[in-house]
Amino acid sequence: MEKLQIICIDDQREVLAAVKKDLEIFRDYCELITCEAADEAEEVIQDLKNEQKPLALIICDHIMPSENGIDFIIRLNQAGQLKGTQKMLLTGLATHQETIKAINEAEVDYYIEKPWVQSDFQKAVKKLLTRYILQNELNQEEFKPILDEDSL
Amino acid sequence: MQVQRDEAYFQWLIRTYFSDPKRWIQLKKGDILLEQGHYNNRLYYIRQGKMIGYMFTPEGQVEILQAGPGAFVGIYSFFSKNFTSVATVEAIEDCELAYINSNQQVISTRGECSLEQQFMPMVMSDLLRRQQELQRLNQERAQTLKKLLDQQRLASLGQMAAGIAHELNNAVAVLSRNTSWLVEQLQLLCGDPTFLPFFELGLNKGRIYSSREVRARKKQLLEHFQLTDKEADLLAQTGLSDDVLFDNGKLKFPAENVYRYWELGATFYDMLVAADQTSHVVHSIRTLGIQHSQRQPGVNLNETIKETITLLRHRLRDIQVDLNLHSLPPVEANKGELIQLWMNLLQNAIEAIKQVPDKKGQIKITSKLSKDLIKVEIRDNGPGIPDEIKNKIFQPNVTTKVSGLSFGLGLGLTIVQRIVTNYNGTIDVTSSKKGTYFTIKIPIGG
Repeated sequence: MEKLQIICIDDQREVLAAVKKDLEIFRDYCELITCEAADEAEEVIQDLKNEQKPLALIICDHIMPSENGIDFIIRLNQAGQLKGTQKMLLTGLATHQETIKAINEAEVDYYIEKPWVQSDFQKAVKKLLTRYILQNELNQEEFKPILDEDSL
Repeated sequence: MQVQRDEAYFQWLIRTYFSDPKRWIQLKKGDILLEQGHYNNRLYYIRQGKMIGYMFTPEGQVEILQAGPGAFVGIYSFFSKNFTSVATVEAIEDCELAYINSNQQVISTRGECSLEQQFMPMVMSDLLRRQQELQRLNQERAQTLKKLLDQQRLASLGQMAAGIAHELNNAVAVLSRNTSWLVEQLQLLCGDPTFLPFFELGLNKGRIYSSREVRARKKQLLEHFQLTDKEADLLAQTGLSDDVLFDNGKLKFPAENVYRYWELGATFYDMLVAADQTSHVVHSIRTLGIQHSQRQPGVNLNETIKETITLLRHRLRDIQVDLNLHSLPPVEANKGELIQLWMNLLQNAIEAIKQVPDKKGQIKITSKLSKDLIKVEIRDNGPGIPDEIKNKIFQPNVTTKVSGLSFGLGLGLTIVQRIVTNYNGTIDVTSSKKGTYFTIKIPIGG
């Protein structure tokens, strides 16, 4: 079984560490790569591409120095870098306008507000990963423990 | 709009009517020339000095005119023929005035038959000038009012925040005190002294390596040692060096254990930092609501600077901080307030530096005594203050952070200025593309 690739981007290391802890339950099925900025994530995405590892899920903060999360995802969408990738926004503050932009232009699949509740966050990740597995017709049996029953 | 007046004619008029020194008078600054409702049958021409006119209304005293050399005073009472002054006119500088009386004979050259006719162009231009002046005054008043409202809004925000802050502080105190307690208990209970150093490393230093560095370290570990991907991943995060982890190429301890203990420590570190950050934010909002603060003698300004740096250590970890603190006399001050002052300035510097991700951040802090002034200079090598906000950085609601969790309330420099002003000090800023520096001067007498 090829592990599912997940990228999480947040400019605060403490937040990344917390996300990592909450996603530990996916450890055997997923590889989590953490990045502190958009440009770093872009390099990682390129590396994954070179290794022919598709990106299953991107979890992105919105407010970050230099490029913000929504603009970053829009840019990647336009460059065709996120085809098939599930997109989650994990943010403490997005205005009404930004949220609209996230849905309409960044085509974000899920929005989680900080501070998040562990179980909600884990359920959302499950849901998105299940969607990814179904869309890509991966072997459901292999990923059974992390599948979201409701989505099946 | 400027009124074009016929200069030659004007000069003729002045020469003709106002050049007799017998009808010149001198006023001292503060002298009252006319009084509202009192008799006046003179038209004055200001040769030198400035005058101000105001009316007493039920709402209070209203300034209605300012007049300088070349202007007329007493126009209403003179030309309306009721010879009653509508305003009180006072000299705000030493003045020299020339005047004519109501019984002044017309001196005609072009066939005009009355003073009114002769003076009409001048009077019209003077009245228009007054009207423009009034409009300017009104605008100024509106601006002052707006400023006042802003300040009031800020103060009430502060008062409201003070209430919320109290509640929040209790919650944060519980979190931060309990975190510290848990740390102590864990250190006591942690049975295995082998792993205690890993816990303490995480606790004292936190996550000093960036995600990029961690990835590079993982790669390196995988290349040099026989490790599983998971083991390399865990060990890379701790940032522990080869000699700590390996003995003859073999892991000394199970990777999972090393990581668990380190992560436990680092997590506590994160929690303490988060609690710190929260109390700082609460404190900075609350400061706005505080009108007067208790001061104590014997405060060492340099100490407050050092303390601020300790508080900000986690945000300063990638930044080179050069301290050049000269010995200073103790001052009477509120320590918390001063820390607040440096905190806001340093946080701005950090924010500025973070905008240029590839550049090595640098902050220089210099303090010294020059005569009876304490001078503190805080210099960063960030990209400078954007031109469009340069002139209004001390106003509330001005921020370079469009939005954000990092609290782009735009209150930082407003607080700074308020504190500096409270100490009868001054603040100056110089900013270019190479960086920004703030100079704060505080008199030792307070």
